[in-house]
Amino acid sequence: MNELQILKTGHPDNIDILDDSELEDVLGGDTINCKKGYSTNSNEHITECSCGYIIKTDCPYPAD
Amino acid sequence: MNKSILSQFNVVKTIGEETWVYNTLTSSFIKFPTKQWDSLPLQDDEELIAMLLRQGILIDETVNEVAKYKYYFYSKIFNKNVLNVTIAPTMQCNFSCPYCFEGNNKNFSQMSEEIENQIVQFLIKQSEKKKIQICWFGGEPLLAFNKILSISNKLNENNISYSANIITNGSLLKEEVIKNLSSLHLTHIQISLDGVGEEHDKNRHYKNGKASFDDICQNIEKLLQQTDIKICLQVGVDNSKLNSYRDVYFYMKERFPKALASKQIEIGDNVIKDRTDFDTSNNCLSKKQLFEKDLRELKDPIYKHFCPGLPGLSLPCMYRLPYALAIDSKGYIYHCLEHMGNPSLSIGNITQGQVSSMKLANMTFAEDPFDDEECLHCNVLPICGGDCPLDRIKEKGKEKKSYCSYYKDYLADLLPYMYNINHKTES
Repeated sequence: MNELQILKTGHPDNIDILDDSELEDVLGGDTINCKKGYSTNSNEHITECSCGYIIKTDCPYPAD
Repeated sequence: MNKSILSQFNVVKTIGEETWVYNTLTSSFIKFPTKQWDSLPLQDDEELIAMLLRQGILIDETVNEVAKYKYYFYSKIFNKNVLNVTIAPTMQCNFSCPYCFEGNNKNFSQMSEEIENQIVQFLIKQSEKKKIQICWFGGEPLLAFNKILSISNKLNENNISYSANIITNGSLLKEEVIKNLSSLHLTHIQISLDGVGEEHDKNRHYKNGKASFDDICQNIEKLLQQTDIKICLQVGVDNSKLNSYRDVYFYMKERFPKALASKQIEIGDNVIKDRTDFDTSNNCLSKKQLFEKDLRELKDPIYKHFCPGLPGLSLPCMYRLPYALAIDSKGYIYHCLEHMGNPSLSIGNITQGQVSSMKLANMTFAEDPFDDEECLHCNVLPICGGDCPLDRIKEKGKEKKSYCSYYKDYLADLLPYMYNINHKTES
């Protein structure tokens, strides 16, 4: 069946910039490299900095 | 109502009547009938247009998408709420991995008490306004576990709130270390592996050549028995060990099934890319090889649990972040882990209590991707972020830039396979 399918919902454009936690969800929370809620690598639970040296594990897989 | 146009950040792959579109700014992933995709942005269906605007596939022609990403990027840089400090209590190591980026920078001995106290005072002062996160790094940090313990205890005595993690080769996680871990406020311990058994030992052995894999696994076993600290296994993958990640996954699943199921053990891969001046052993993966690896994993059901996923937003690494510091055992302060142990690349010393604002500013804005016409017009900029600032500096002025993300050339070709493995329903 060939019809439009949203496979992954995009992050909403409207965020409350006065709510730090909401913006931090986009910007990676309180870590330097973890892209919380955004990035996943292979096993969907670990995120890593682009050079791969540091990883963080408690980033939730983006909810769809 | 303003006119809608297609986002510049759409990555598109069409095969016959099906078209896959991934937006690298919003992370939305949509499969269209090709006929419908081809009709965009000129469409009468207002509901469809509204939905595609929400997903970022279409944008209002009056907005600047690059500015939105730039806003995210710089908000991250100037976030003053958190101080991330990587501390190397020693630069020495008990391994001699041939590919170690610290190379000859591992001569510094253990941290002196003076440096230790300076760091503690610095963290106490910073904790008044910032959340403190410490990463214990090295050399091999557990060679100086007494320093880690001493600094942690001093912070605890001063009621400083902080969280920490350790990046270690895992060989020194012995009984006497494990029993003292509770005072370190650890969120996780990161252990680097290169595969299972001999494959790991080929590179990651003790200085005297003795194999380390069995020791590390025994230490992991003890750690699991005595603590509930999360263990993150970071597995190096290069051309000499393409299956190392998969092998470690199945080995750990067999040996520590409960810990893997409960996520006390998590496994990630560190794909060793062919970065500038990095490929000393000719084992790094080129962009094409990385694509072939990803494609093979996406096509093979055995990789279902750990095949590559859609790439997320790329935000600046510590090189550009004023509030992310790395301190070596002599107190020199850096903005890149690759610089540690090389004082000529430091931005100051903890004993001086000051850093160079000139150096800071020049690092923050070094080869800024937002000043680069090619980056500004690239559809994968939000998932690349201009990549490694060091590589950008090294390759300045060159026509063919090796730092460009491999997604630029290959992400579109991966999309149908990502769809097949994650979303396609069996008919």
